[in-house]
Amino acid sequence: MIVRVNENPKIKDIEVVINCKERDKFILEIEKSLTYLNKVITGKIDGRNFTLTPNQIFYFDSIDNKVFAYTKDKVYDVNLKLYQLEDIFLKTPLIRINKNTILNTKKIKSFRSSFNGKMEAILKNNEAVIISRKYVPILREILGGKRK
Amino acid sequence: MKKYFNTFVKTFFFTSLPMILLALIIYRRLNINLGYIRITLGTILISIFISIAISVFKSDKGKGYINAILGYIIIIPALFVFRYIFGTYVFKTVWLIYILIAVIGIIYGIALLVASKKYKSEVNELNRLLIDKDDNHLEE
Repeated sequence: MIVRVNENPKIKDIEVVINCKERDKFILEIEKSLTYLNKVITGKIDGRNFTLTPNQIFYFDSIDNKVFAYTKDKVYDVNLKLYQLEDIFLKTPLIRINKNTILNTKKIKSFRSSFNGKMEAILKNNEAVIISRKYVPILREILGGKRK
Repeated sequence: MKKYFNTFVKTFFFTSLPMILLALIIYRRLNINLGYIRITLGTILISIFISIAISVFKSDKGKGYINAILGYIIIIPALFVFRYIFGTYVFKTVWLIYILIAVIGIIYGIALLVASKKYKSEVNELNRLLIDKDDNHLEE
């Protein structure tokens, strides 16, 4: 793969063009990664606004009609609904895993199940989030498996 | 509450069918009319217990195995309500209710084991995919 960067002060917007022979799995991964990097949202803590990139976000959780973004060690108030975040992060590793949560699949360390069939994703900061069975096929697909 | 009510309605539907069937069998064989109100109230009570058991079992709070045990314990009063409704017409001896509790327990345990194995294999698959994905990224 050849990576070329064309630096020009006259250019206003970054444009990434991928020249390829075939739009295969690898190219789709590059597209997904670029889409992932391209998104930013605003989060608030104590009235102060912060810009959050998807790479910082572990998951979004909706509690009492309020949405919060969880990073490694902070929680931000996000002024968007879960369905709006789902649209913004379409075709990225951030997917809905239950009625109230959108998870960044890049932050998953492992999975575990409990005796009553509950499935949990253990994140890289050792937090656990519950995965609803309804979203397991999509999660499997994102991780590179086949949708059953 | 809405979720519990939905569970209750489904449970009530599936519980009332065998209850009505059993009442009809007793009426046909022994010519005894158990009364519609008795059957209905009993079915409602049994459905309440079963719905609570399902809700506790499926709950996200607490440890999974404790929820599973509690789910079974909550079902037991439903069996006693069942015995109260049908009395000696179905339960000819005192020990039959305890045998029924044991049988329900065994079926519950087997169902739990089968479901647990299925979920475990799903989790193992996801963990394997996670490792494969990490390995692919390292190779690239």
